[in-house]
Amino acid sequence: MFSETIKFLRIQKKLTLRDFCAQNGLDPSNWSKVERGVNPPPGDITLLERLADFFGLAGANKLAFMDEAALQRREIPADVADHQILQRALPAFFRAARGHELSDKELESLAEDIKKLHTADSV
Amino acid sequence: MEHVWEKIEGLRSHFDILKADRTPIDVFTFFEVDLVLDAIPFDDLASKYRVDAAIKVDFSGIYLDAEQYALMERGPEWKLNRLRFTVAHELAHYFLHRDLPQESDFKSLHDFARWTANNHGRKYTLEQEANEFAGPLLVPETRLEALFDEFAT
Repeated sequence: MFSETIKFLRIQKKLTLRDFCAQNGLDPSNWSKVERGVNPPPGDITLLERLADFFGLAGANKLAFMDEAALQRREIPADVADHQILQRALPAFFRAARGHELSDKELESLAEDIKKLHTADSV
Repeated sequence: MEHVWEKIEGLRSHFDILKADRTPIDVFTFFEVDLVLDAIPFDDLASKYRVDAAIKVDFSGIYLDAEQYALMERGPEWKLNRLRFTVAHELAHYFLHRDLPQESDFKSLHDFARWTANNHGRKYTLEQEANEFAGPLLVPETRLEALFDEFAT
């Protein structure tokens, strides 16, 4: 999958998400969603080519990179169910709860915000 | 807390990035590149929920206040230091307490709230351990001693 490939290439270059985005003019919040497969890969061919160049991909490797992006774009990201969010995405140990607990309303708001982080942005 | 220090020394011998010659340790590169955990920028995490960073219950990534993460080098030094410490604290949970949430099966937000607020009376100890871990992870004891000697003479 493109999302896994792009993350692998970034890690191979020993770049944090933030540094990679800074060097390529990308927004870390959006790109985090691309790498986690929540948002589809970019459809902008110029951007994809620039990224392929950034990672030094050429010939068949570059082609495979572009194909992976196109392939994954055709996938519709599945909505993340509430239960799955509770099982996988809530914070494990929430610092705000230390000393001053979150209210029920804040907790519901937190769950909604986390759901957004694991749901594709509407285009 | 000896087991916490032993854990850190074990990690230091395993990961080059944790060696004592560069302080404070670059925890961002450590968790993103070495541990391959996701950095997940979270809008208004700090202002809405009074927390700079929080590790996911499946331990695959860390939520970070989006603004602080994106602008860390342009903000005040104390903010970066706090974020760094919070990430180190969350990494303590990753290395020391990873099995605990897996024992739980949250069926509702209420379940989660009750668990995170108390964790069967173990919460205080867990947080103490995480703080004990965070300091020496960022600044190794040997480095601290060297700096102390430098200033003392």
